[in-house]
Amino acid sequence: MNWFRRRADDVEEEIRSHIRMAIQDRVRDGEDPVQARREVLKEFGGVAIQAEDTRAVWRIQWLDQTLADLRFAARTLAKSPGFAAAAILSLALGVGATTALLSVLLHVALRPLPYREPDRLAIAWSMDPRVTPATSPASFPDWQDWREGTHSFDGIAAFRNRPGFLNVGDRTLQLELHEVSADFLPLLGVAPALGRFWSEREGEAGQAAVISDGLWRHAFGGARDVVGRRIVVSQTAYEIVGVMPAGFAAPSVGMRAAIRLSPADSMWTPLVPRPVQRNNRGNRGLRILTRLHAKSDVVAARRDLAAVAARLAAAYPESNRGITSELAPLADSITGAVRPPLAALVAAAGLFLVIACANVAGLLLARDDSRRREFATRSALGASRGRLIRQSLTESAVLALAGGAAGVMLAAALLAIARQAAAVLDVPRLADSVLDLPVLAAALVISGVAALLFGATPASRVSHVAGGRVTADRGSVRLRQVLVGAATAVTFVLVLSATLLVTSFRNLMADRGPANDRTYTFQVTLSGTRWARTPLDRQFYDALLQRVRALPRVESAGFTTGLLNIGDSSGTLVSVVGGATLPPDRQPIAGYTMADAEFFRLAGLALRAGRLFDARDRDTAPPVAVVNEAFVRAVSPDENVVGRWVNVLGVGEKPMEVVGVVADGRPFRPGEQERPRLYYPWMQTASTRFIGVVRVKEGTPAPMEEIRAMVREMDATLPVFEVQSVAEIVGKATASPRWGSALVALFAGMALALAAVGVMGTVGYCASQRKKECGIRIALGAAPRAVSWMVARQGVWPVLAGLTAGLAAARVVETVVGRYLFGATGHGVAAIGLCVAILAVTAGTAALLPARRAAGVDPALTLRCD
Amino acid sequence: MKERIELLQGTLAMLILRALQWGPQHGYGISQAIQSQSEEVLRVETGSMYPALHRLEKQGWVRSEWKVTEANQRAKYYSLTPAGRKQLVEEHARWKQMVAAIGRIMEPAKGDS
Repeated sequence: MNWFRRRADDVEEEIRSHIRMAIQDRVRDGEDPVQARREVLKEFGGVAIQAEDTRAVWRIQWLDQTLADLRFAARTLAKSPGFAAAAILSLALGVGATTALLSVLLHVALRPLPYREPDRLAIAWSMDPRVTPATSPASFPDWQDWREGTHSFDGIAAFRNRPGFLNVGDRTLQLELHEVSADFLPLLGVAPALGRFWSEREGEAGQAAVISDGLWRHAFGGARDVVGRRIVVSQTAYEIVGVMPAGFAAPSVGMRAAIRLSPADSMWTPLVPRPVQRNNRGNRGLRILTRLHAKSDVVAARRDLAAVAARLAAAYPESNRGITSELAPLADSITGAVRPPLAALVAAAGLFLVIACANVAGLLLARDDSRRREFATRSALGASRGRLIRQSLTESAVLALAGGAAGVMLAAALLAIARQAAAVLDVPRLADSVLDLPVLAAALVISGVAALLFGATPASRVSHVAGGRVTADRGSVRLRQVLVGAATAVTFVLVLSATLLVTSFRNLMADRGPANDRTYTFQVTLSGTRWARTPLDRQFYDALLQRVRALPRVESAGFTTGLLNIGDSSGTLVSVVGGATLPPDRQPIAGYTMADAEFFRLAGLALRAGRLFDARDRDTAPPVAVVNEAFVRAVSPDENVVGRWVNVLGVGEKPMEVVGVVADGRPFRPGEQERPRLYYPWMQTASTRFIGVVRVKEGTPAPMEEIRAMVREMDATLPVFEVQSVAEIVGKATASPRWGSALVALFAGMALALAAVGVMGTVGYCASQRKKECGIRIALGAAPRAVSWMVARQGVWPVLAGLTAGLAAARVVETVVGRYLFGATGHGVAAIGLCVAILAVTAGTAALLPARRAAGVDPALTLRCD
Repeated sequence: MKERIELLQGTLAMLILRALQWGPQHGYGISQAIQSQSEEVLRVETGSMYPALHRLEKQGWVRSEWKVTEANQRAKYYSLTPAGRKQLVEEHARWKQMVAAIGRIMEPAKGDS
């Protein structure tokens, strides 16, 4: 730029020196200086113009023209701020939503996992046909046999995890305690940042621990001497031997037995199975991580594993009959559940972008049509067709750039929201979704393509301006109608999907329990303390329960080991004594859950037959159990189960008498069914970990501080953790469908608005084109309503066409969305009817407004005006 | 007022190159040279000369340099580049061709009526 300015000054100086020399020559020839100057200047002509022309030689032609075009485009857009705002907003919404969702897709589903050769890692499962879902953990003996019997793997490691707590000073830090075999961390291929992993021998003693970077910073402040320190986690002592690097997360078990990445505060310790797990092939609680051999692939490895499983099924029919195996790549296991809804969301955003682009195209068309006159004049004044087209394209480019920039900002905001939602949604790796360069580039490319697309349509219309005919163009009206029709069809699809999802979500949330926001849960673990031994464990429960119930604002309190989707989710084999001997593959697996009478009431599980636990069921009395309806269906659907005795494999030695049947809990996922459950009273068998459920009176605060104090009073080393209200638990469990349906509803709403704008624009355009005709008709005596209808018709029939197309697609929509629906699908017809009504009303209003204005026109004005 | 003879397009550039053939000259000097050498028939419009000069420089046929004149004043001097010399020869040849062609039309050879 400096160079340009120097050149500009140069030309000035050069011309001035020319003039000076000319004057000097004249003076030398004897002329009067003043006269000479006057003559020279007169002869020279306009200095400024010549300087400008000379400078123009140096300018880069096309750059100059482009800058002029851009300035002009900006000026014209500024003159119609409404149009510009509508166009930029639509684009921003479309580009922003698509970019944000693409970014999430990239980070959650497509980025490779941060391990050595991550595509060689796979998760192995036992498949138990008696359970839904059939994927089950493996048992310790099975795992050992898998290790020895297969040859397609570099390593087969086992892992499981549970919450733990670490007392740091006077704080209690909650962390995830992972129990893993010695080869688990080495299998992932990430070296520790500090220290080392433990050896097999150290693993047998079970005292070594490797901590995560997050835990290192939170609990130890990043002290470099942490290796070698002894800590006590959940009443067990460990020695820290290593620290993992920042950003490392290992596979772990999450909610609903899904495989997810370990949380920031994690600790890996050696897996030391209890004797009952080591010897019992039916006790399945281990998750298995495998690394495929370099020469093997998933298919071959799967077959290899299946062969071993088959051998085991034959050799140990009692525990393994019908049990097969499954192998799935690690990436699929982690993100598999999330991919379909994510893909659906990206599709929805894509549809939305299409509607937004169609709308902007329509708006641009209308605008260019109204500037026909101007283009005709400019063409007559000598502007080439290419110049006009370029101008049109520049305008669209400015719109696209502005829309794209706004869209990128919107995407960044949406991603920030997504990162917030990550905590609640349990979507793997959502927390790292950032707007990075490739997606940014993609967003700009999208805007650019959009610019070309809808700049091209009006521009090609412009080129037909020959000789300045300024009348209504059938072709452009037709094009607009097609755009409106397409937008309507797409909007219908979105509105239908949204209606179905929102209805489904409301079904999901209905009747979840009116008192959920005043019912609280907390967890206490007794393992490793003196309280873990009978009879102290029952005494602890008794004492705590009495004290909690004694609080004046507590309405009721109970204990359990599993509520909704928190707590223990393992299952065990049960068999009915004296019942039909079911073949081992039909033997039911039931969730083995601790409970008391109050718990059933708190959890909303109504009694269906028999009785709940009561004072009769002491530790001296014969063991009793309460089962749920799913259990009855699985075990003896035709016969009464109350009064029968059941054997629970691997737990009690004595059979338990079934004394009651309660209702099934309501699952959180569509198509899911509550599993069979067997509840046992804590008065007879107290678990070392329990969930306390407390309901307080309306309007009173949570009793957590008092409960913490009570527990501390009884034993200062026992912390109270995982405190949340049932409403929060339900909220977290339903977060995914809630967010999904909210998003789709948001898209649908915006699409509806855009479609309405499109209809209004079309009708408005037609109205303005046929102003003269309307004037004539009214002057000749036509009723205003008839004239209104004549104009509105232009906007209404494409909407009808779009609706028809949408209805045709309704079946497909229902099938696609059906997978995410919860509750009865019989609402289909009602939903379709509702959507048609919504669209009809919106389109009707959008068409009527400009049509009525057209009819209200004064014929005297329109006929006179040209 | 002398009548202005309009120069054919492109000839101005050739005349400027010619004027520079004998050494560097500034814009005023070039216009004076053309005027005097054509015996006052051709008067160069500065409005066309300066753009033409700069165009020649842009095309690389002349180069410019700020120097001090004998009157101790700054002026921009232009000089021919080797490419410019070649261009001058080419343009001169083209010009001669055109003049001969037009001459054949306007003044037919002896023998025609």
